[in-house]
Order: sequence, then C-alpha cells, then structure tokens
Amino acid sequence: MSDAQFETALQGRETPTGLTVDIREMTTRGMIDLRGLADDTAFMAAVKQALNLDLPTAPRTSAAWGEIQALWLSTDQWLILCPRTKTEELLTALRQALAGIHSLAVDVSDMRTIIRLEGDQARSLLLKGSSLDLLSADYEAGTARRLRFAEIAALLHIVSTKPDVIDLYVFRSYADYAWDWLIANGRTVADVRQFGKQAVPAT
Amino acid sequence: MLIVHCHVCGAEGDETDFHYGGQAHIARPATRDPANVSDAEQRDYLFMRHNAKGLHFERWRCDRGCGKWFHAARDTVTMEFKATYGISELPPRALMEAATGEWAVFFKDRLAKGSEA
Amino acid sequence: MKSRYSIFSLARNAMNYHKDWERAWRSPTPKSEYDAVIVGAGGHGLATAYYLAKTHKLTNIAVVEKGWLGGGNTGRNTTIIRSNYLQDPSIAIYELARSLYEDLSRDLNFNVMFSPRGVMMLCQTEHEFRAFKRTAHANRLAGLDCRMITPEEVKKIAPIINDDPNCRYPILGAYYQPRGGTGRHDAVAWGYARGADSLGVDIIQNCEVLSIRRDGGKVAGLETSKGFIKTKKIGVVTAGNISTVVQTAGLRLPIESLCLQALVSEPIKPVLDCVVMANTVHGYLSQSDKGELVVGGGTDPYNNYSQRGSFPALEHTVTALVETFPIISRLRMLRMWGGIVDMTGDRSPIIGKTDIDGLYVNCGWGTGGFKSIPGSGYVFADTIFNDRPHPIAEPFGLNRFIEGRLIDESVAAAVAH
Repeated sequence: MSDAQFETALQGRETPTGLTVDIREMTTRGMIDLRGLADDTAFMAAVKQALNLDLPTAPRTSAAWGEIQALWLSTDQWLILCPRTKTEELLTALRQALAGIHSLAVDVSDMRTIIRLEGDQARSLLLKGSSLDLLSADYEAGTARRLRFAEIAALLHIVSTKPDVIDLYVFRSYADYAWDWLIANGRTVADVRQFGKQAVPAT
Repeated sequence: MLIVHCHVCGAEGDETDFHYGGQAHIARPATRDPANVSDAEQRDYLFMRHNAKGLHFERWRCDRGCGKWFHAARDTVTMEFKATYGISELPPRALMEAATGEWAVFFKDRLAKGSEA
Repeated sequence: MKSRYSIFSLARNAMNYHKDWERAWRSPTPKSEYDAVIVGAGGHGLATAYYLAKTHKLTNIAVVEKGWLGGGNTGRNTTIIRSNYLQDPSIAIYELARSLYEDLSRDLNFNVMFSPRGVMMLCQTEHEFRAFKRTAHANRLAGLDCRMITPEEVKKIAPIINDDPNCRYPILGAYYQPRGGTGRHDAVAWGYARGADSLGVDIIQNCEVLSIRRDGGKVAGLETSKGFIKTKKIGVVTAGNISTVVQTAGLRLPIESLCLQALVSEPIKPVLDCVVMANTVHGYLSQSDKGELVVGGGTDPYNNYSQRGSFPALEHTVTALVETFPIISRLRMLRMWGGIVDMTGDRSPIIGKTDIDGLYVNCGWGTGGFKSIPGSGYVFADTIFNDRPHPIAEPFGLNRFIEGRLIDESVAAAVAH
C-alpha cells in the first residue's frame, strides 16, 4: 500500500482563462473549528493566550493576528485559519489552554475547500447565486458569513476590497460543483444590480 | 418572498437562508409526566396545530447564518413579521394580547402569570 | 329538470345564435331550513351535494359558498388524476374516485374532459426505484392497472425527456398508471353544480359562513352573511379554510394550511401526451389541451392563508423540470397561482363524523384533492346521510390520530402529491 497522501479537492482542475474574475483554489490553509461560550471569560482568555487574538464577538466579523485568523460563524462557533503545516501545533496549544473549559477544538482542514475570487466582478458573480445584498457597503473587508450559495451551504470571507479578494468556502464534496458553477457563470460580465438603486421611471 | 430577520445574530435574508420550524410553544407532555400521558394528549402534541388565520407564532432557524433557532410572530394572511423573540421566551405582551382564536386561549394563563416562558 | 346537453341541443342553439342557452344553475335565495347544508362549493362540496341528491334522494339541501363555486383549490390545481397510492385505504378511495371519473361526463351530462393519458412517476434514484416497486406490488395486489416501465419505454411515451444516463438524476425507470390522466378542473365543478342544481339542490354563492351554531352537543344551524340557516346536518368541505370554520363550533383539527403553487407556460404545439411526475427533483408536468405546459411542485414550507406563494418554490420547481425536460428551458411562463392546502400529519384526508352531532368534516386532502373529488363526494354523502362512516371512509376518521392508526402517504408519495 502506498502512503496516504493529501490531495486537494480541485487538484488537477485547470485554472480557466477568459473569466471575468480570477479564481483559484487555496490549498495551503489549515482550519480549526472552535466552539465555546463567548460570555465565558475563562474561555475567551484561554483562546487569547493560545492564538494571541481576541475572538470576534460581533456577528459576521473576523479578526487576524499575523498568519492566524478567526472568522465568526455563530454566537458560539469560530473558524480558525492558519497555515496548514501549523495546524497541529496550534490545535495542541488551543487544547492545552482550554483544558477543563467547556469547549471544542477540532481540526477540520479537510472539511472545506477554499476558492479565492479576485477582481471587480467577484461580488456580482457571487450575487448570481445568492440572495444577499453583496453590493451593500455592509460587506466590507473582514466580513465573514455563511450563506446559501448556488443552493449549497457556503462561507464567504471578504479578505480585502478595491479590488475585491473574496474567499468562498464550500464543503469538500461540493468543490467540483462550485468550481463548475463559477466557471459557467463567470464567462460573461455579471451585470447584476439586485437591491441597487432602481432607475426612476420617466413620468 | 419573505425577508426574515434573525433574532440571534441580526442577519437579514430571504426565506431560503432560513428554515421554517412549524408552530411555536408546543410542549411535549411526556417531558412533564411520562407515566400519565393520555392518547389524546399525545395526539395534541404530535398533530394538533393552531393553524391561525392571522397572527401566528412559529419557530425559525437561521439556517445559513448563525444556525440558531428563534421564535417569530407572523401574520399568515399578510405575511408580515410582527416580531422575533428568543427561543426560550414568550412573545411580547402586546402580541399575546392581540392573539386570537386558539392562540388567545393558549396565552390566557400565561398573561395572567406574567411573562416568564 | 334541465334540458340535456347533446349534439342536437348544440345544433338547435346554434340556429338561434346561442342566445337561448338556459343558465346551468340557479341563484336561489337561501330557505330558512334545510335537511343538510354543505359548506364550500368546490369540487368536493358539490360532489357531496350531488350524490346526496342523486343516490340518497335527499334534495332539500344547500351548498353555501363564500366566493364563487369552484373558485378555491378546485380552480387552482394541476388537474392530475391517479390512484396509485401505497396504503390500502388510500388505494380504495382514490381508485373509487378515478373509476367514477371514467364515466363522469356521461353521468353528469357535462363534458369534464377526463383524459386518461397515463401518469408516469419517474424513478431517478435507486431508492425511488425500490420505493415505487414496493408501491407497484401493493397496487397489483389491490387490482390496480399499474406497472413499472423501463427507461426505453419512458422515452417512447415522453420523447422530450432527458434520458442522458450521466445526468445528476438519470431516468432509471418509471411507475406507470395508464388509466391515470387529467380532467378539466372547472368542468368538474360546473358539471357537479349543474347536476346537483337540476336535482333541486340550492347552490348559494357569495354566502359566507360566519359561525356554526350549536345546540348543546349537536348542530343547530349556520350563521351566514345571508342570515341564519337552520339545519341538523352540516358537512364542512372548505379545504385550507376548514380550521377557521369549525373553530366557531369549538372543534379543533390536526390540520395546517400551506400554500401550493402551480404555473402554466405559453401554449405550444403538442409535445407531451402524458403526465410526468419527477418526485426526486420535485416537479410535475403535463400539457393542457390548449397547449400550455402545466407545472406543479411542492408546497411553500410555512403556514399561509394568502393564496400567494413565494418565488423560490417556483424557481426550484422550474429548475428541476428544466433538468428533466431541457426543451422547456426557453418557454415563457404565462400565469402562476397558489391555493391554500389543508395538510394533515400523515398526508391523508379526514372524512367523517366529529364529536358534535350533525357536524361532518371532509378535509385534509392537502395537495391531492382534485383527483379524489368524485370518490370523496360519494363516500361523504353516504356518511352524512346514514350518520355513520362509509366503509371506504371509515379508516379516514378523526380517531386515527388518537389511536396512532395513521395512513402514511407522505413517505409513499415521496413528494407532496
């Protein structure tokens, strides 16, 4: 038997050309699912000690310190991002700090596939598959939220803006579907102005 | 199309980002007194529903957001959301008083007792 | 007695420029008392009145209707008629209805356009294939003319179907009822209305029931927008609005009212001469005689009394059908509508007596009411007349929810049927 070897979900898929946005798979990221009570000061302090950052408690926000990021998923759940090679080290540190505290930290690096979208058309493209008002100013850099994207569950992280860099997290089994969807819908300019200013009809 | 507002995380979105959880405030009789649940009580728990025409109280889940359950008061004729409130809470007093039909009967004792769930 | 519709009456009236057609039914003012009153002039209510008058010779009866006859779910469905349900009680009542449809036009002297064009229920997953095979066995034991067919036969019957074996939900076969089909929904209501009216039944439209008046443990009559009507027997057949009607008599029902939507496309040339139900992807399709493709799907998830559904349910249905019938992708949709369906926990109807003497309910048909109209009316009339459940209606009594004796069709149908 050969040794187990990690393969990303979209390995071998060609990066398409001629799309209105650049898309590529982020392959070197580790992910830790962290659960605990935000109003438990011991929990928050322990996480701070292990990660060197305050977990974001405002809905749909994120926090970063160096190469570690924390995305808010729910009132008691965060997704911790780090370089894949450092996942185990960070997980051990987290678990040590959280010993005896009601919490959960699990390595979920292989659970989701991350597709990065770059370019001015990124939001409009995602808007085609979502009911969220992504063109609103509320969706600023650092926003992280789960959503229904092209009928599947996904997580959106706006890494930076102008030009937009957006990470789309989908469950690994949906990676091919999401990739194909982005290619199919990314070929033409998505002039979607949902929720935008409506033209005033001539009187 | 319903635009739903999550009581827990404040997310606002289409009904497709949320999950409908049916009628609110249904208590499982076996939780209180497992040995003495009559067939009729079990029927009421499993199948009887208020089915209000007008103000209705129901459960929703922020399915694609924070994943938490919450309660909502909604009008089943106009589709208007009157209020959202916590999953372990009773509706605002004004709405309990505005309830009609079977809901009015349901809230009568609770209004008399005060507003703890 | 009304003059009969026939080729001769058509010719005679043509000579007179169609000016002398008599009205199909009267618009009587309500009498002060009836032997029985049916609430709701939809298909089920009118059929009940018709069979009460015809079979049981009970003609001093009325049907009261809030709006206009056939204006509720009878005019808001996709007109599919089939009887291939899983459970024996369901097979009995739906097959009774389907077999009555076969001869209904002759019986009513009104063309209800029953078209037994065949109903195909596609198997698009292994699980669905096995589930329908189980239904097929149950149906054959009950003597129904139904069979499993191969993908090749499916393609032959419906050439526009996508038979690509590599698509997301490939066609693995279908469960086929050749004598299922469609009918003309308005004609069914009109036919029963004309039939009942000619037997002396008063059909009173624009007459809303405000409350059911009780005299202790039995009914005394109906308060309506046209005054009080005294009666000893009341049959309530108001589908999605049943909870609000019977609530006035202090009766609760295990019913929730949801919105079920349907839509039709622009008319096109004939492309589909059977009914196709694609349960896995949640949509069904047939072509009306006018050429419109009639599209239906599942219910909206939440309680709704507005007769308007929301867009995602329609989008989901249409998406599913485009996958199965790629040629419809460029069709424009003409009309969409919603009806309030009365859903029970086991997705089977409630027919029978209640705890209140003289109050009978016929409801819970949910999303499958149209196909059952003649059978439902037939057994409900018998139940009201004899004050005991008709043998076919007996399993559908209210007591089944206490006894846990459910007739579970929600799993068997695999779709909101």
